[in-house]
Amino acid sequence: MYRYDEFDAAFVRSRVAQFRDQVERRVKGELTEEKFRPLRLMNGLYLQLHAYMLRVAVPYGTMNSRQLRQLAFIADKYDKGYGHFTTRQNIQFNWPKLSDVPDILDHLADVEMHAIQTSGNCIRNVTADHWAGVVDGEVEDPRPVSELLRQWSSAHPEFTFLPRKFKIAVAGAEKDRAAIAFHDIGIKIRRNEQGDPGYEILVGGGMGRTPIVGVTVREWLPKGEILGYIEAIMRVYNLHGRRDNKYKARIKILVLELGKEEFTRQVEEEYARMGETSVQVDPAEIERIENYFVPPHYEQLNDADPVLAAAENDNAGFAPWVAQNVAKHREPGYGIVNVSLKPTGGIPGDATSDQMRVVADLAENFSFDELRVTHEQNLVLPHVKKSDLFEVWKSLVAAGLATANLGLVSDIICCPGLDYCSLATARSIPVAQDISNHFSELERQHEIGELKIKISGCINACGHHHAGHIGILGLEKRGEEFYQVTLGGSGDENAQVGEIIGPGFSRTEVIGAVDTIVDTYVSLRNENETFLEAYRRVGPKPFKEAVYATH
Amino acid sequence: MPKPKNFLQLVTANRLNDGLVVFLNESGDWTESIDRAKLVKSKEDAESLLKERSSTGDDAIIEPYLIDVEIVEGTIAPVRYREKLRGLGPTVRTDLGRQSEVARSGLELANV
Ligand code: SF4
Repeated sequence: MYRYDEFDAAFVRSRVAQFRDQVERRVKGELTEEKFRPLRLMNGLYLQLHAYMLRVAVPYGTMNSRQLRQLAFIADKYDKGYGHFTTRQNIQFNWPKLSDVPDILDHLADVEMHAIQTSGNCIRNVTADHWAGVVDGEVEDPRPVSELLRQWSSAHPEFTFLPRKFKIAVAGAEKDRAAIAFHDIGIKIRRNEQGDPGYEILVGGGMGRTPIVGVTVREWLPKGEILGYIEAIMRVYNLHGRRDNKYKARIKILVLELGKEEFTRQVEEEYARMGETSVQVDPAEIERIENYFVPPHYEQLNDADPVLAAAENDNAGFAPWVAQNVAKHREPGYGIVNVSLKPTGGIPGDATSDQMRVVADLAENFSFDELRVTHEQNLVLPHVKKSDLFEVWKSLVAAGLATANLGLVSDIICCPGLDYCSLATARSIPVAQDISNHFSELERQHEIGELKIKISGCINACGHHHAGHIGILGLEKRGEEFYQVTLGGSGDENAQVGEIIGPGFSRTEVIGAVDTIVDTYVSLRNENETFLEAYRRVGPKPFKEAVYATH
Repeated sequence: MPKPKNFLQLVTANRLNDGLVVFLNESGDWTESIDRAKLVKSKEDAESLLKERSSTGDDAIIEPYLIDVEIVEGTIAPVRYREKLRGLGPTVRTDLGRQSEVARSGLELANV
């Protein structure tokens, strides 16, 4: 894992001290809210519906046990004993007091964490594949370049006041688990014809009110050129981005308005113009960063483990969990454990402080002290020996963290919605809970197979509904909550924006609509055909007919 | 958004230190209880009340604004469900927020 150098540590501490002073001046009345608001936002402190919310960055979703324990401590001491893991691999606390925030930030700094650039029109926390470095078929671990981008973009003066917020995601394999095509910049590590690793650069993806799949502006970029090239993109954006209109200010609108060819031409022209003045990454610096991400010292093991096989035979709930939540690791004898934060009827992405401590202990004892946060709002123990899986599972069961539903209908991505968020137009969590309760039988979920439901409480689409196989968007219509359903969205390497199937549904109707959609899929699918494959084969018609015949 | 039958508004805000939802009362202080909020019956009164509060640069609260309310069975209830929720706390965590305090004190909650 990356460790702060002296500069990082001093920078974060100085920001905490600065913010402490700003909070004091605000409380004394020396700073008006108008002046203070941008300062608190720069430190990740929002005002939500019922209280403040502090968003803490988890760079590319990677943490160690000490950090997670510190988050648990903060949840207990300064919040209400829980935290919410988000689609940007971050964690949010929903009830901090303003006057406590400087202390919280100091506690975060103690474990090399902060809340800087988790808000505002800057380059936000860089996200990456949550199975980075451990999944089979990866070209390269996406985290070193994510870390490089994190360092480069932190407090970068040229990119502190962009036209809008800016999100970068990195995938290291053909299979995209970071939804890169829905980011302002998506980076895919791939090889060129000579077999050298480099970067494919996508630009202009995004969700929100104008969902767009990003376009490739460079098929392959040499690794050492990444910062210079990204800087060229940022400059074109900084120059032409629509600062006059908030709804048109994201880079996706610029790419759309200019067209892919013209936008690419301008970037290449800027990049050529920058020439030798562009930031070249010192290979020694890359090597330094890469050294933090070298694989741990795995044991030489056989892939088939007799302890695991025996435990699977003897424990009814264990085998389905292994089958669904443990992914193949690149090292024989190891597995990638996915800890579901989606218990039946639970709040997607929420974890209590006790649960955090359980996962931290497991990471320390069984996963080389490492864990990940996924953009699907789950946690990952990335390197667990197969012979330890049973022990890990027992601890997770005891903590209510062993629901065997990864990628299934109840593994729902869901934003906080109107239960917390001041921008929301409707609640989203109760809809997720209804669906989860409705499909509570795990056997049924396994029969249905992979199905990604994603729910947002407003058009901002933090719940990624546009990329949901079934997407649900909460709106307000004549003073009532009202839900629009989309089908066929996907956030993977074949990214697609879901299509609205027709008129929306009331809060009580939406669960029936989802049920009908699922039944329709089950009745028309071919053997082994997933929901998305079936939808792509038959289109929306049979689903529309079924849903609107019964509503 | 439903239009209320009769004009009735109050000023709400969030408290500076903890961000909790508060309402402006008759004596010009901020209270957590909507039942003690000062009601205004005309648009002009509402706007001048808000302006007055905003221009004092009141440092105990942030982001004051007006909401529509109505009297339901003798109690003040916000018209929009956003405001109803805001006044109570998360519906998915009834153990948190104003609703939990009210429940502990044995008072009734408006239905959401
Ligand atoms: S999608 Fe809307 S409601 Fe949900 S978290 Fe984002 S801004 Fe809030």
